[in-house]
Amino acid sequence: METKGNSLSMQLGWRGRLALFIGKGGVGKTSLATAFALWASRQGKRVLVAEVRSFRRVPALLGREVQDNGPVQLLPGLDWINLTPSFSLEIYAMKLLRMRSLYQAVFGQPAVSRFLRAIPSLAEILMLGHVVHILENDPYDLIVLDAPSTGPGTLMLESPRAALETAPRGPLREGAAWIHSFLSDPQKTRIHVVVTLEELPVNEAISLTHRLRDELHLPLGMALANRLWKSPFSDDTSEIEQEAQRHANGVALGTAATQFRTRLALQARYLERLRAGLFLPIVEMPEILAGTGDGEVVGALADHFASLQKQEERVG
Amino acid sequence: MNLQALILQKRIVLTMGPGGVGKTTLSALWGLQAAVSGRKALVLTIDPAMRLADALGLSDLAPGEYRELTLAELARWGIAARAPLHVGMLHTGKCLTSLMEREVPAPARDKILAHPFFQRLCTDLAGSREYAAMEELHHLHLRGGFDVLVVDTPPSVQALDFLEAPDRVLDVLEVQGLGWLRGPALKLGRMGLRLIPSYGDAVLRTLKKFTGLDFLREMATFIELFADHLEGFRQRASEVRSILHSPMCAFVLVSSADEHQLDECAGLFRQVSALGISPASILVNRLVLPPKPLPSRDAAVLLTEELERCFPAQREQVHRAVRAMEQAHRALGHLAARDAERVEAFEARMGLPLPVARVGLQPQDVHDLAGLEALRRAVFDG
Repeated sequence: METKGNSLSMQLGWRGRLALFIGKGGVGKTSLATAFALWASRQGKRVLVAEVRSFRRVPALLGREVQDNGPVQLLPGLDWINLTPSFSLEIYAMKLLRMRSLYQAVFGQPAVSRFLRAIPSLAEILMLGHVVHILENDPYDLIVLDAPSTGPGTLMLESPRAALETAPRGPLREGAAWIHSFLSDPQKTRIHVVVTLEELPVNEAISLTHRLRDELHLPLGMALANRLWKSPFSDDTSEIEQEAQRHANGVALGTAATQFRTRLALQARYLERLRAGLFLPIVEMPEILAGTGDGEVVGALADHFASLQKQEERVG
Repeated sequence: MNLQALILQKRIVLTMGPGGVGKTTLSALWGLQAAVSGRKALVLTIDPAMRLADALGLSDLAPGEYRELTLAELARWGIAARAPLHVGMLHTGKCLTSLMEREVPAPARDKILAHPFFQRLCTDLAGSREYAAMEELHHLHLRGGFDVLVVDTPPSVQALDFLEAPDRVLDVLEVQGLGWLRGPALKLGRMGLRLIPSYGDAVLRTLKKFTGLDFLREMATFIELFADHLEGFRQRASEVRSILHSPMCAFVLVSSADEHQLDECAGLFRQVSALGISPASILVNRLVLPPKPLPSRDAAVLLTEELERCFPAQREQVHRAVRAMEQAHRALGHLAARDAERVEAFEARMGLPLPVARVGLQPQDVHDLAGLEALRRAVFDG
């Protein structure tokens, strides 16, 4: 408990620049990344949330409708951008060429864009390069990157290293080296793994963290166990709940109790497996029941980050 | 069209949707239902997350290997199948290598296999997997031997990449589009390995700045190796394109009741439709189903009294237990209502021409064939 607490404060108080959230699709990466960004911005940081080829989910989560890819301010101190290969290509090409007319003359040609689309991983490298470019040129304290789900997310994270190892010498490889050095520096980057307590997400999170650490050598932060159901039960009442199911007045209540307990038991088992299989501090994030609106959910999650931090300060 | 009919009639069923909605498990489920109905199915996952082995409990299933689950094997799990079930997970490198072995004669083939750019393609770089999946689908479909191919695609955006892969290949292989790269400016060999300024135009000079000369050269030598074999690649890409658009192929869109996943599913629906493909079925998976309603408003009070008579020495525990049961009942009711509300809003917003199928959250995750069979009974026999 104590080491977990210490590591958690370290994560929450971490002063690096790029916080990257990755995990199986559907585990709530975007909500947690947005809540993390919201919490950081409430502490006075200038934060940019970046999504990748998304359907603009972060603005929707914060109750804003955005038509383009940004960057746009969603809340004071909280900006948003949607990374796309063509957007990032434009930034990179302009940095190289410095002339819009030349950019349009070359990259506007269908043959050129076909050629570029056929280069594997180029899109991923460009988008990561875009993030690092923003960090080096714009006055953000923190970029929160909502990475694609595990499979494509890993391909994205490994793209600079793959290019570094296999691409011939030249600007592409130099760019990849620059991105790689940023991503692999624990002073600058932390990768947080989001997981829900179910069979496939847990297995995936465990193999993902090992892969990120042992094969890609990237700096990991915390594991966020998301959507935990909170138990209303005490240990000594299960016999009473069983009995309730034999009463006409208790069938519905007793069955609900069994269903809930089944889920809790499953959750406990997966949390155990996660603890055994992971080497990261595990932060438990609750299922937010209050309200169905998105804004409320993200707000409540950001509050949860704040309360975790307060608890840590009190303990520490 | 309902799922049972799709599985019985179509030759190819593609499961698409956002990440984490259970696509892999459901794809395995379509395959199992086909097997039980007497159709020989192959379930192929092209999602790089490769969780099919997990869902089936086949921990030793290697990427690139096709495994037959025989009638006897399925029977051991209590499954009365009438056709075997084949399963496999796409391995980019193995797939591309056997593609070259099939399609390109020596010596060009050996040069391609040894080329650094090809080896890079095989390491599962983004983009190459979608291409490999397209070729594999073509190969399996033409080779025949299966009544139905079930394809488990990667999450949304990458699935679109897969659907667009044929067009992308056709684009790149267009001779005119490639002319500038295959032209004399980058000509290799006898001329030496220099970019010849007199031939190079602004495009080439800029690209050189962008990727470096070595990179362009590498691409040029690679493409040169294909020069005499382009027609086959073009033809297959265009065949896959027409297969994907033909009525023998059906797309099943899957979502969970999560608001964002429903949004993403809606976006995917629009994008797939824009490609001229219309999804045959939409399914919302893992809904929290509502708990049984309480028989009366004072059910909890009455129950407390009854339980107090059963456990006269544990009055305090009885009160706590009933309070906790009420909380659990309320929480489940709340989650179920939230899910139902979201799915109804989704149906209304989409104005769908087809009904949305609903599958409840299972008490256990599916991680072996017995679990898959239980899910199959719940979905198809229930």
